[in-house]
Amino acid sequence: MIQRSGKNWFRVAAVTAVFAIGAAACGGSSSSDTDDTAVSSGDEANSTDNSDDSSGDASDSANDAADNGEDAGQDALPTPDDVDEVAAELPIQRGGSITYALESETAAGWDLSRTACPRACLQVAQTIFDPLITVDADGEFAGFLLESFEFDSERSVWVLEVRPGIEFQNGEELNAEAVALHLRTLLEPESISALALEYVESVTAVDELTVEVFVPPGENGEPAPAAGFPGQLAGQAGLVRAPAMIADAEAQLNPIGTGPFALAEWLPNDHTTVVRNEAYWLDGEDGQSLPYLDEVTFRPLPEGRAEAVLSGTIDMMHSADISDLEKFVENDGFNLEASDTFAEPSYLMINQDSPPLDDIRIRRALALCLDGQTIIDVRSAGIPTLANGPYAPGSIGYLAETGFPDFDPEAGMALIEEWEAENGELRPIRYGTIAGNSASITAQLQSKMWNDCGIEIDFRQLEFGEHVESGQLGDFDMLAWRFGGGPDPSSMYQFWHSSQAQPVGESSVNFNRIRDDVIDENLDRMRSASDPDEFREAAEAVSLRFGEQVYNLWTSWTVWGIGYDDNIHQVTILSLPGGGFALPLSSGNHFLTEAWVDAG
Amino acid sequence: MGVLIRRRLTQLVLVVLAVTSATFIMLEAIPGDPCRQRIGPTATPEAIELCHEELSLDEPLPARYANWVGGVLRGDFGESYSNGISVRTTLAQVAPVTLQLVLYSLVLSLVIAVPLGVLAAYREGGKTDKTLMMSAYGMLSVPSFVLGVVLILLFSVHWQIFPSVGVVPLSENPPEHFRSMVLPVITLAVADIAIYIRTLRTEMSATLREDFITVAKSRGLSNRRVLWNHGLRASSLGLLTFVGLNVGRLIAGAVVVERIFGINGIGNYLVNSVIQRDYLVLQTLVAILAVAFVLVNLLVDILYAVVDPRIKPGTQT
Repeated sequence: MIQRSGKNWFRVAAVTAVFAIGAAACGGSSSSDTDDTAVSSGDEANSTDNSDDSSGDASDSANDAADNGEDAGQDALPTPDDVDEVAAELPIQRGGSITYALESETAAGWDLSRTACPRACLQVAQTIFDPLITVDADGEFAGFLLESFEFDSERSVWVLEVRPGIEFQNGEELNAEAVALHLRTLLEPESISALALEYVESVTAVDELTVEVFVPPGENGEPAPAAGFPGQLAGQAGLVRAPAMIADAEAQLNPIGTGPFALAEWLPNDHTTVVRNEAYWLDGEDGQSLPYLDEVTFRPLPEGRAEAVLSGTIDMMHSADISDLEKFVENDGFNLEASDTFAEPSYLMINQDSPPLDDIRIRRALALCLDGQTIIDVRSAGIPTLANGPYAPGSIGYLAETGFPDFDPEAGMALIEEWEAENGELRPIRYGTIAGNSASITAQLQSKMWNDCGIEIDFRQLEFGEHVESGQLGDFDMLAWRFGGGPDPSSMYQFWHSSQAQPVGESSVNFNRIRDDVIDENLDRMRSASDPDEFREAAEAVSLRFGEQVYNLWTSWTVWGIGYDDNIHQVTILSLPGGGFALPLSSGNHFLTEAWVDAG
Repeated sequence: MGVLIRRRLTQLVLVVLAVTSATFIMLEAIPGDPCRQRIGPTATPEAIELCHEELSLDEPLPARYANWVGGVLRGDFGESYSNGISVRTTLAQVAPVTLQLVLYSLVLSLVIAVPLGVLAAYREGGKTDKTLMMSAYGMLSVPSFVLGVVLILLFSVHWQIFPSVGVVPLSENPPEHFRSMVLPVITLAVADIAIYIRTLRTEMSATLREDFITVAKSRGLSNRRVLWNHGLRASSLGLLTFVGLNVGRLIAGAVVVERIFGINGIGNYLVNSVIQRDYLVLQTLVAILAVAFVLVNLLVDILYAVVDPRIKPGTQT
């Protein structure tokens, strides 16, 4: 058992993002083992074979990228090696409770098949539900509730072996039938995962512990688009619900999983309390069942989370606000762990169906006139790293050079002049952010830069719901957005593929209405790739295309951190059932299964 | 009295119908779909359609309004679009918190403002009066969201005397309840204290120039008795009117204070229902607040008669 504790430092987790679901749950992520088709968990987690499966091979590239240390930078931030060795010597204590401040409430409840589950939601959900698959500390897929998962390319099925001896919190057995039922409901039209799993044709429990998921090959014999499936099971879709919960008409109020904690009380907008699952299936270091904590109370606190921890009112919080994280650096008695690897990119999303933004010259001009580094320096103390594409450092497809324009206002002005000579005066560009002081200040700074290039900005602050709906319906020119991330580039398929681009006014998950043959082709290649090099090439081609075509204005990689009282330990530790550890921190989410409180 | 109450209840029905129907129409006009909120950005058209059917959002606006009014008349406030929890259940949880917050704030502001207002009037034009008036100006000029944050930084983060978020239920731990209420109540009360001091001081100054005060003094009554028994009683009508009208301001203030201090009261419920496009909840809360406002002002009317028996209830408004 590893015990770690930061000491008034940023600890930058080396790996991250199982859940590549952005603020609006864009599905899972993917990453996997080298060379192996049968990506196994348990004792076989690191074993390889030479079968020619797709997903595992393809995802292998992600690990290579991570191994190459293509980190987002953050030289100013300590690394995971900055641990408190003194705390590591402390004996683990059982019992106690913690209070955890979340950035938002999960208003729609806990039926995760029916609602998006952003970061705050996942933080709670991971205590109640266990994932079928997770990503280990090396950035590779590892079975959690699944003992193994393997793609049988001859029959075009994913074969899932369920780990035996596990029960849901209501006593129901976790078996193949339960997992198959869970997966089948995800294919229903009202499911949040229906689009992401549209390539799955059927799910069948073939025996007590084996589930087969049929992914049909293309009509002309093309390989099955199955590579992203493990990534989906490592995300929101993989958090398995009990059959009784699935049958419950009020499932959103009565979540039942196999997780280390069970829901005790949910008072929306006030608190969610989970209590120890006495029959949890994983054991701790002392041979008794996990978790160590008796209770966790989550409180949604959109504002003042850091202050609440620093005042001792709350024990722990997560935040993507650099000013929040900095407060923990400045105060003794608290720990901070932060991560930006495989991070969600923050960007300004450009609507391709909103002229003149359909003209690449205008998009390039917007990029050329925006001094992203200055904005980071001024607004975020220079801590996040300037983003340049859709895939974060460490992920397959990340490129140090994507062709995304560097700051060059003169070149930007020249493009504007050229465009205006042909088309007349450029109309003001509508730019929307979620309402808030911080967003407003940043937007004003950006607007000033564009104004200096002769681009007028019609800046609008939008209430959250309006902001999201503007994106869905295409009612925007540019929107500040944070979405994606994770080690699997193919997980963004439905958000960028032209098949999901609807006209303005119609709901579309391809929010910025990208219709690009190169991107389509390479997204398709990724989904069906069996060769890791091909997978990587396709991802890099997407990255380059995004850079060249400037479909988004990339601003920074999002740094997520957790700040907590330093009497809490192992807040980012999860020992995997087959050995090794899960990713310690993925975009602000972490497991509390092995967290414990030093009472004294 | 009976006439006043009947008249006010008639007004109440009209006010509630006017406010709720206007709210219904305005909510329909603003952008945002409850189903998109509930499902999230990745909602498919099919999922949104199913959700609309489930929540009866595919019905015409008048039909939905009629359904809502019918439900309220039967005591059924409906269920949240977001999570299906009945509005009545949530109200039972959040309303007491806000009522406590408003009540404590009202009591605190009156306990502080009344003696200071009387003192300022008694010392009109003097240093005490000027100091109090300047202080009142200062208190009025500090927005509650600024004051709340400053109080948190000082008393929660720096000195760690009071918690920065949440309220402990009174039934659970009375001492901790009051401790957790200190900062929110102060934040909410400060502006009211200033308003009440200034109101009472103005009223009282005029009262102290009245003939009956001169008569009372000439009868040899002590200054204290003249001030508190005669002056204050006569000057209370203006203060009472202000307190009644100020209930709306207090509720608006509670929205801000509950947000700053992470208190799950009606204000927070209201804000979240807007964010989540939970129209049914919002509609019900608007109706309840309208009813509360009318009833509080009815109570003020009745109190006029208690303070000054010469006044017949209803004639002052």
